[in-house]
Amino acid sequence: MMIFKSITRKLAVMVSALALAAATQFSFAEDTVHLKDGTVVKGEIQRELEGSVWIKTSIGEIASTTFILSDNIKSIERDSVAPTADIKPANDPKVELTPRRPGVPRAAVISLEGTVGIQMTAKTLYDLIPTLERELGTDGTGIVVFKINSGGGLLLEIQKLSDVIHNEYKKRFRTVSWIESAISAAAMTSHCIEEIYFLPEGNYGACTGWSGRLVAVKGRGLEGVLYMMEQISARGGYNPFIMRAMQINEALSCTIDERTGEVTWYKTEDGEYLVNPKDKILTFTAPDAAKFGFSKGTAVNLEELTKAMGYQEIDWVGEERTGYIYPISKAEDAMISYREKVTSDEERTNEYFANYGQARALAAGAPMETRPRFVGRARSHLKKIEAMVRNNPNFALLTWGMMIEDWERDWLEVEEEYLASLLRP
Amino acid sequence: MKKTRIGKFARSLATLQLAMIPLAVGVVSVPQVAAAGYAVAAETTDQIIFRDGRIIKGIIAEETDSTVSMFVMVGSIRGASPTVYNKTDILSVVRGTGEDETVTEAGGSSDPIDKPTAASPGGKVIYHIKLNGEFGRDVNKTPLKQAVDAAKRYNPDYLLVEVDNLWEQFGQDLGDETASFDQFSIADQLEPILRQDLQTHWDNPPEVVVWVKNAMAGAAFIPFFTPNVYFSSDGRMGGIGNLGGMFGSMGDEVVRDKQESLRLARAKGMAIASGHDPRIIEAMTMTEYVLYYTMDGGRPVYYTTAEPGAELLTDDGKDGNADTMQEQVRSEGNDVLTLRAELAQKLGVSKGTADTVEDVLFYLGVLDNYELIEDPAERTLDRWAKTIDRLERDIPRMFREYDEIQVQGDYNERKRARGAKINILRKIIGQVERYAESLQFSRIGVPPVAQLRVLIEQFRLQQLADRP
Repeated sequence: MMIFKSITRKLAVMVSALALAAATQFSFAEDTVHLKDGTVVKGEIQRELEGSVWIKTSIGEIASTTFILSDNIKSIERDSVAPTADIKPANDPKVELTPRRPGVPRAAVISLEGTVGIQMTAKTLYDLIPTLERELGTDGTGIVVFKINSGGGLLLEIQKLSDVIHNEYKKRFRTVSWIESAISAAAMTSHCIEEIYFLPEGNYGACTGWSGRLVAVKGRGLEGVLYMMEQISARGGYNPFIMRAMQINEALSCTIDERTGEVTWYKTEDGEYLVNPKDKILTFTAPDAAKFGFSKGTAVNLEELTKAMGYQEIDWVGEERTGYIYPISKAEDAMISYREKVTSDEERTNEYFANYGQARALAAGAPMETRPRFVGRARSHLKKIEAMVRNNPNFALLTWGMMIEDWERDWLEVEEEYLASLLRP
Repeated sequence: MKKTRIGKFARSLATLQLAMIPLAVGVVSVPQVAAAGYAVAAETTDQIIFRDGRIIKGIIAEETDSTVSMFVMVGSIRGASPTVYNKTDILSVVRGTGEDETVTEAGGSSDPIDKPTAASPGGKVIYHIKLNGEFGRDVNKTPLKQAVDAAKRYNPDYLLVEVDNLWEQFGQDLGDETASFDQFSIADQLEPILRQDLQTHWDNPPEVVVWVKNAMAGAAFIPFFTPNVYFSSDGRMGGIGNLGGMFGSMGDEVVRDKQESLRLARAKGMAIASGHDPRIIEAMTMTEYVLYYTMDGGRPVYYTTAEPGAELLTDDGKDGNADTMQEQVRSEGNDVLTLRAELAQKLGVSKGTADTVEDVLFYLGVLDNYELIEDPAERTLDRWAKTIDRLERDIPRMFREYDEIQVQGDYNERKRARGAKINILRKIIGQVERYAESLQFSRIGVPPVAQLRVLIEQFRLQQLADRP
């Protein structure tokens, strides 16, 4: 028995040693980020976006990932392989696509989830374009599928999202929506896309604008949103009556030409098919969307979507990941990381402020000799707030009611100056 | 009286088995061990928090009324013999992470599990998952995912999901008329686990079969995940009929219409994806929805207005049509639809009435050559429920202990006390975040996590101020 134990122990040590060797092979890769304040952070850069980096550092066996804002970075010395979501210009000569199978287009699925304006923003979509061009090419054959699962969000982001999709994506890629659930602002975002497919459980609509305790947008504001959606409906090639029935209590009916399948829409209940009674708000299910020609089809998976889009084969870029019904491309990976960061910020906003507030107050009340400790602490919390806003400038609007430029000038710089003043004798 | 750890024996056994496997089969890879369900050596450290703020980590060997013995750990090195501490010096004993002391891959049972063998060629493997207890607490995303993950290693042909959720208050059945449509959001999170994930990530996805005993409120959506639904004789499915009045008179009507519309469409989508008629969902959720049916060739034909020979399923619930108290207590109301075995089968929601697992299997055409696996999943869900029970007791206790730690004495004592406070808060945060889906702050009575984090920062700042 003792011999057995000894052998087992030796085996265990060998396995551990092998595991360690394997681990250190990768952990030897070390990047160095020099910050403007003189701090040096060493670790492995996991991801980069517009000059900001996520760097994995470790102390002993404990690893953590730190986000460093581009504004604070002086220089970077690289050692590790390129980060997965590094965004580089499409014409980067080092970027080479794997050989394409003749006649087979490349496609990437980009998930649009969470709250429109928070987790789903025009800026993020815009920032992903270079990565998508690297993955799908720039010859116009690439396909971007926006898989949408969102309960809506901020009205102010709809036009921006529509613009980036219509003016940037549709020019570069065949752009389609694949709807799991597109409610309110999410449906309004998708509405500029001509090709909409549904998942079998998909739903789309309920676009009534509201705020607070279910108070509807009314008057001039409502007319503005109705007009905006008329224009966006035209971008997507949809009859404006459809979106109106999703926004206000307005009837919607249609007739379908048996010969051609052409659908004629009415904003009354007089058509052959009553799509929405006048006292209801329209939300399409997948069968209705297909029946009335609003969607181009219903697809439960990529195989069915490929066929619905008229292809025999599509090269779906990315790697398999548990929990996802599509491969995760680098662009999608960046989108997921962005959502995680912004969701964490959203949940912790009050905490960031409370922590900044208490450190700031203690700094102000501390004697000169110990004050730098608290100022340092306050600055660290201020940086978190700054990183949150830079990651999603809508936080400036939602929290301070300011555009980011005003926020920088009227809040951030004021706070920085105040903290600096505390250190002056 | 001595309290010993049940897990210790299991852990020793597991370690012994791990040690013995290589001798039996020569080379064993880790995945094989995990796949066989053996306990993975995953000792979580215990902590003793002393009244003076000191914290010692290790593995508790024994606890009596007056002492605690612990194998003290320094880094990853564990002491050879236990050290005995007097309880009078101890403020609190924190065992592990609040979970069981050994874990298996995929959150399965801690006991060794043999791969099923009965499925001789052509035989079927049925994995039985029981969803009982309180929906949203005992039945939730994580334990269901763990149960389904645990099933994967058996490569079952069928996942038999038995739905029998608790639907009572103070021991009294809540009846058909009580409704909680809002639990749809929980069902919405369970759906991918039993639908998309299986199709995408299993080489041979099993057929999901739902066996309805009591599927009320959020649980009433589970049968819509699949076309394969069976009811027990006294099976019941409903308790979601309040969508129409969910928002009362709040705000503007057009916004209430919007809220109802999106919820109804989402719920209908769930049914549509499995081939169920979405009008059943509308009849189950909206009081104002009127639905009649006739039978044609054994299949239901639905109407929203009265037709000759058509039978009323639900009326508009208005004025004289509103269910009376007499109808409500007898479950005879028709303002909204509650499905029972016979009607569910008639309407095609249920494929048959089955009172035993064997009855269900009979309907599936599985007569004798099969292997039924049910214990592991039951234990997974049961363990989750027990963990929630324990956390509802432990978290308030930990918070009390946090409150009792006095920051006083000399600098080192104050520093230690603050460290102990921070440690407890971190522990609470860890547990709350991990089990957030099933924990209710009203039950555990501690401030929200964000506030706990602010408290931690407060102690750090105090420490900065205190530093000489």
